[in-house]
Amino acid sequence: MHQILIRPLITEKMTNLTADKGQYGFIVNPKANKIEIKKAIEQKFNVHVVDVRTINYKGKTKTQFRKSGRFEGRTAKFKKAIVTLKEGETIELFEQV
Amino acid sequence: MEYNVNEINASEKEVEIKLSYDEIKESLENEVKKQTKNIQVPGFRKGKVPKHILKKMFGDALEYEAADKVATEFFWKVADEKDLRPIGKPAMTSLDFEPEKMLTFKVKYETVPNITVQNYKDIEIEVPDFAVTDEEVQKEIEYILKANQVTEEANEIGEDRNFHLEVEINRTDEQGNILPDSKPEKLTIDLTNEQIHPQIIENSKGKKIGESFSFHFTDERKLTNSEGVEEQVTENYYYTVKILSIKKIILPELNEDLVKKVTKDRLSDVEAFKEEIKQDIQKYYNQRVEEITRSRLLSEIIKNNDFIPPQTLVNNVLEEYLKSEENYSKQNKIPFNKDEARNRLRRNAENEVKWYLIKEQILKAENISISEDELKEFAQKEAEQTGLSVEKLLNYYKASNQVERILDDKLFEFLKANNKIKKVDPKTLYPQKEESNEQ
Repeated sequence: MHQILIRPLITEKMTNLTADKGQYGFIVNPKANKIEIKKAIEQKFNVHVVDVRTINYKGKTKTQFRKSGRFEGRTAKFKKAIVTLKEGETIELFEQV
Repeated sequence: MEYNVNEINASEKEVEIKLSYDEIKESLENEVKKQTKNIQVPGFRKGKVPKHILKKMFGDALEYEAADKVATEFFWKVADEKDLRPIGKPAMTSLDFEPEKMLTFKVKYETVPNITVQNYKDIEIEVPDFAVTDEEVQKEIEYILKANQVTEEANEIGEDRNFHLEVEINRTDEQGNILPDSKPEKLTIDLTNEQIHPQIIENSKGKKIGESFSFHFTDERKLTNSEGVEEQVTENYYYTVKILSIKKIILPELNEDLVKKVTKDRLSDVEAFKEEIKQDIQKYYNQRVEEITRSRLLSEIIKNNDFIPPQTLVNNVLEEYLKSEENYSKQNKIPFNKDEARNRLRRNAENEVKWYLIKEQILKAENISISEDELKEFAQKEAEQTGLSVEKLLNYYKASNQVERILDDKLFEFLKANNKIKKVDPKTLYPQKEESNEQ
């Protein structure tokens, strides 16, 4: 099985969500579904996941103009998962950074 | 808060300060907050990283850095409260911080030393008693005559030295053959000049325009060879000199006309003129004696009250000395070696600082100061001499450091009156320069 959790998402916005609603963000494998993500988190951090919401990012189109003409490419696509834990449970995310 | 001041020497001290965590908590938190404002972590705006994340990223490093700043802040607080009066830049010699427990640190600092001046009265010093001799007056008159001399064309150099020569000079070998790489050089030779080579004076006697004479000299000097060994080098120089023109110097007679011309009609009598010259030289000597007296008194007082001066002040004075010497060297195109000058001038700078601090104490002990009335009186005297208004002079004294100069003069007068200044024959003070009063 491919790796589901790639890295935790530690940003200003996510820290606020963690503090206010007990939600944690992760960058996950774009092929992973919500059930797989829930299982992976519960297994790894020994917690109970109440809700998983995901967002797919397609990656941006980047254009460069070179001597040989126009050159087009894309940045990598990725998937974000925002998980809500059972009340009172926490994850020591920082150790995973 | 506990603190303890240890004296290292008269002008250097070390303070040890112990602070509990409660005392520094607020300052520490403020300092950490200040530091976090500049920390950037990806995913967060600058300064918006939550504290717990920073703590996990940097551990206690932030607090340690903040402790250093808090220590500095507390040192200055203690310095103010306890009147430590540090000068220059205090240096932290140790810092022991235990997060959530305590902060202990030591700061070494310089301070104006508390000196008790002593033995600045009843010192016996000897100064030269310069008196103008008739020879010195005569020499001065000769300079004046020379400055008013006239010249006339001549064909032949006479037996005396009163001639100016325009010559062409060539370097030759021992046999008198002009060296192939020698370039002829046109020069003016003043035969009355005392530094002229004696062979030139001797060999030029009786010569006419167009004729030549020769002279030679030997140059002996020490040179370091390629192996670094110093060896004596002797080199002979031979020259031939062709006379292009001769001018005879005619010195004027010292009479009423000359005295009138030199003094711009102020004097006409020759004897009165000589007397004035004598008085001028005496005035110069008196000034020199005054300077010598001042310098000897100061060095004796410094010797009697010696202490280690604050290095910050010494370095400031030294830098001023170096700057002015560097400027002087630049203006006069003299090579300047900063390290050599620093070593040479250090003692002078130390003495200046020592005297400054001793002077302050003497002024305090003897209650010497310049009152408004004295300043006014001084300004009135100067106003009579310069023609400026008293008000203007008073403003100038207050704006510049003239008050300090006047105070210095007053102190010097006090020291002169309270010490034994013995005038002695300069020959006993300067036996190597017996023949002249000049130092």
